[in-house]
Amino acid sequence: MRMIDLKDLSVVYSENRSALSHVTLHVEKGEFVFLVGPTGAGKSTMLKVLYREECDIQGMVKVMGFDIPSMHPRDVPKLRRSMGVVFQDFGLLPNKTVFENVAFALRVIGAGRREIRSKTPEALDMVGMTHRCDAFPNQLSWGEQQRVAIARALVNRPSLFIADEPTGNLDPDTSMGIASILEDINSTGTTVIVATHDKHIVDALCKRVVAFNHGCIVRDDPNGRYDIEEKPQVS
Amino acid sequence: MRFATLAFLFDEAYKNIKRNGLMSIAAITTVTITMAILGGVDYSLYRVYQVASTLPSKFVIQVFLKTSATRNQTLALQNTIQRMPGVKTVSLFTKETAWAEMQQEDKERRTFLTGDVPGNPLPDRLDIKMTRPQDIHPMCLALRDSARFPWIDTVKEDNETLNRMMATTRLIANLGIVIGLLLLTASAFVIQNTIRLTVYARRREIRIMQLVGATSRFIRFPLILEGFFYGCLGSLLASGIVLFAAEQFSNYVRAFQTPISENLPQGINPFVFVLGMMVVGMLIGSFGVFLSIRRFLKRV
Repeated sequence: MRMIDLKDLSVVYSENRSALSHVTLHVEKGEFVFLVGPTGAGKSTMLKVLYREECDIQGMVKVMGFDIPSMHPRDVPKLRRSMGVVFQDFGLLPNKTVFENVAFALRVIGAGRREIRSKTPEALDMVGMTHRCDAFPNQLSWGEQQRVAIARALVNRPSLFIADEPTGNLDPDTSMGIASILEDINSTGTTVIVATHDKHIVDALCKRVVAFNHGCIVRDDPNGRYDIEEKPQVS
Repeated sequence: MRFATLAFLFDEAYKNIKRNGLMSIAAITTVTITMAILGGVDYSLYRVYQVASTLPSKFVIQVFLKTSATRNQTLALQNTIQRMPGVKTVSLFTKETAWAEMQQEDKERRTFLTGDVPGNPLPDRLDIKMTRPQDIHPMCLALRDSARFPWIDTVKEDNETLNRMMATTRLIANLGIVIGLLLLTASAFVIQNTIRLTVYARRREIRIMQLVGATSRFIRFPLILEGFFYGCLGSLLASGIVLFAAEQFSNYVRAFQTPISENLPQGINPFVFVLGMMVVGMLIGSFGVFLSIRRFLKRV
């Protein structure tokens, strides 16, 4: 079964500006895909299309069987509940503790107290954050917040896991720790899509690499490395 | 909705209020001040209306009988009038009592007028009180029908004062409704604006909830409960302030011992007042959240 099926996808903001242009991409169940490319290449927009935050889309987009362009707003929560998303800014709820943040993803699907009590510590344990479960997000470091965001995304055991820059602003050791968690998630059969700038983790994991530039796919390598040609921008 | 989910949403509302301490205090304070002004003005206007509306009912129609009327004829007339619709009381002021009072006054004032008068020249008098002040004039017209009431000599009514007083009462009532509605609208705007600020401060939180897959209902419910709570607590505090101030003011007015202050009507039932204020506050609070959050929930 195809997890993601994109055909001729374009995200157009105005006549002169499009974030994605005629993108065609297929991702099978259980795959691990890195989306790489320079800033503004369209990686984050691509992920936003997948969880339907980006709505100005043209073309065919199917995610886990959901037809995104024709989707009724009422069905959007169903789509989002069946996937786990780690946002670029973590997106942790500031007034909730670490435990409550992770449990929230279970609450929204109507999980019972017993299920929450068993699954939440499991997810926190997987990212090594059990000891900080009573802390609030503003009491955590960037790396810790990132881990909590990952725990929240995987607590539902989603079939699709999406992460936007999960290692941004993190030191190399912490980044490798996060990469290892992502690999663990993938090893359970979950499809993982990660948009990143982090050359280290892409090269270390050696997974499928889809490279973007100017809103187009410029490379799709099954066991790729982060070696796209980047010209430094001169201002 | 499952019981566990419902319990969680109530718990969410409670935690949000507790954890957004400063915002909650700001919202409750705004509701308290606004509702105290609304409740205070409405309460005062109602009390003024109450006092004004009791004044016309104190008016009495004085019916003087012919001196030739016998006591039996007077009593029969009293009986007839008592049975007429709209009549509250008919009391007889006998010519003997009137004459005795006059003689006493004459003595005290040393005018010595009654001494030279042979016998009692005064007539019996019937004092009629009507249930509704607006029935006073039609009643007077009816009593002036000499064919129906041959023993009535004169019917006295202070029509001009009564009309002026009734017009004033009507004006107070209408003014009260207009001012009340204006203040209610203003209060609703002020409270809604404050609540909008509390919701606006949490717009990012709302967006995160949406992105995690929470439905609009799931996000809205605890926030509406919060608005409900702000309205409820604010109105309760405001009711306490208004009732305390009203009691102090009533005691102050009573201390003057004027005819009005002595017969000050009973105020609004405190339970009804508190309940009314709370209902208004809760409606404004929860509806305020509903309106404020709509904008943020439109984006899916």
